[in-house]
Amino acid sequence: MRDIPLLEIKNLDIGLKIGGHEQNIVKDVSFDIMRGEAFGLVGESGCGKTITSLSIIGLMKKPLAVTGGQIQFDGTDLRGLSSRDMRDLRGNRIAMIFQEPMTALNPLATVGRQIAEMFVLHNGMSWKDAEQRAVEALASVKVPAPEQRVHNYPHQMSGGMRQRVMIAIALACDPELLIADEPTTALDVTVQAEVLKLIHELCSARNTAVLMISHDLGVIANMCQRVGVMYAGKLIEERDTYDLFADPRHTYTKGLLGALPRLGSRQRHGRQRLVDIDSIVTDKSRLTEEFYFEPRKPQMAARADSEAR
Amino acid sequence: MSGQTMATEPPLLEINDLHVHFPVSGALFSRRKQALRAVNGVSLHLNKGECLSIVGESGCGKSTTALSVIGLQAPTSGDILFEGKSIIGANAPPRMERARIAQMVFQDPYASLNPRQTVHRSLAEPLRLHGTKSRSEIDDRVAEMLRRVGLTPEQATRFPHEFSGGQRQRIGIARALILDPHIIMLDEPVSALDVSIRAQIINLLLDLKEQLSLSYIMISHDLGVVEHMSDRVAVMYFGQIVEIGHWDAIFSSPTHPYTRKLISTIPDPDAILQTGVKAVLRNAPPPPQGYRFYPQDITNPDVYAAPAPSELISISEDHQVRCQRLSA
Repeated sequence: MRDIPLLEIKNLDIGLKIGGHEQNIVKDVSFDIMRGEAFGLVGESGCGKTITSLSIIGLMKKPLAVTGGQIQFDGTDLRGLSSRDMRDLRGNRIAMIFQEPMTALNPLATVGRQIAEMFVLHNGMSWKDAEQRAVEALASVKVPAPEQRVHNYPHQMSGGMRQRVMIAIALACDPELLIADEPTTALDVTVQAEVLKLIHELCSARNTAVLMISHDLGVIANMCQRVGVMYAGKLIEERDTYDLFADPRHTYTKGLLGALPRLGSRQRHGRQRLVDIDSIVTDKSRLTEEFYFEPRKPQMAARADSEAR
Repeated sequence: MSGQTMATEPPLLEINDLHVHFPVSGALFSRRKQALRAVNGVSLHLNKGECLSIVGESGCGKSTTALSVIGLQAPTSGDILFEGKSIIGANAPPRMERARIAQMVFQDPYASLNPRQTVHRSLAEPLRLHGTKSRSEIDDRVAEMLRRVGLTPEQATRFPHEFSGGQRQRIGIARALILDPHIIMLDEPVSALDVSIRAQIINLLLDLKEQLSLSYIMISHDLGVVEHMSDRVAVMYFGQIVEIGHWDAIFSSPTHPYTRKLISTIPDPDAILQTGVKAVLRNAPPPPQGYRFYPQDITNPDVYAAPAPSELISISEDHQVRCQRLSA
């Protein structure tokens, strides 16, 4: 028997309306995330992975809008919530980490105040108590000398430290779901490893579910138990991470894996040419029904497999 | 394959003990001068037809080294030789001549093209400056170069904003190649690009290297790309080369603790399948007899202090690692 998923997305459609025209950006996407599970979404820029995450947290702006489907979070449909209820939920039960911490943080407030704000808004603490808690929160993300660092402004911190602050803000209220949108793309490799480890440790200690969005298959492989591959607005393959990397079924997933030069894959004599997926995403004319249809089958087969287990 | 030259011939490019220090102003009225030591005695050579990659974290001095080679950064001391002749200091060739020695492909194709110039103008300008007078000759050359990088000559009349990221990087490559330089410096050529486009640009760069017998110096922190493209790899840490050698030596037997740390931090999709390169990282090799690895502490370098004396020790054919002699 399976538990009830924490987040359940069913047949999600997201449309872009400009003038009288409407185009679907995300089409019929369904996946679910269990409590404490880390789920990854991979795909190229423009495939709809960020838009999907923004629709969950309710940050989508016009001209984009959810046009169909359901977003069930712990039994409630988020689409039916008023903006006020959504605001209570956001940051409190669902939190998000963005790609670029410098633009996501307020440059005019100290990091301590930005963390404390979470406790004041969602837990009704006084500013004084909240600032005390902010020090603890900074310590939990392993920022050295948190008592001094709370008085820093974002520009006084390095990229890695700023991303740690973002994590502290996101996890301040012990959310049940953390959405991390390319959390380490802007960081150096060694810092990236530290930040990923931190996210992994904190979330598994608190049993926080993670929706990780990235174009880096390596990051996803290290962090997530299950992966969904998105392509031109559709979820084309959704599998256990191990299975996906060991035996990708969809042509596009194979392409994506073959397009990356992977460490240790070069033979001593001569190298294999990288797979050229071609920028099909930008070339909409090549998106034939056939391309969509053919891949749907293996995905369904994968579904059937996992349900039988 | 490539990478082999006759022993008598000097290497295409040779960097000898390069230092680049940036003066940092101390306190007001303070006489003491501080210098940020970006590059601390880098020596390396590039053979014809070879791709040499320099890897390391941001701030390790890899870009500064590259800028010194193309002449955008004056070194504090040291020498850079092209085909055995110095290209910096008093005997340096004029700028126009230098432009034919080395050219650079920049990381961000959005920032490195002039938004107000058509592609044709961006590509034709260097030719015109270098004395190609005839219009038809310039047009032919531009068209040929665009075809080479996978664009069409008709696209020359467009402006950079009309192209996608991958296409812009192609234009950046065409611009670097238009003067037929001997060396192309690639500064993170694919890190600003999307995954699928990355493969195309990497394939293009490798094809061009073969077709035009180019030599590359590539700067990157993406070790997957480095392994795929390089003939030799230099690992830089805090302005020094800590390990240098044939790509296979670096990736199959990484020896310096910093190289090992760098390789271990790459999120590797193969890691979960237990087939990746990380297997080699399990047993740390000991430093050569009578030496210890330098620097020993790879966490927090002091960028203002001069590094302690150390040397690159050969541990196998074409594989050197930086060590410090143990005092007897």
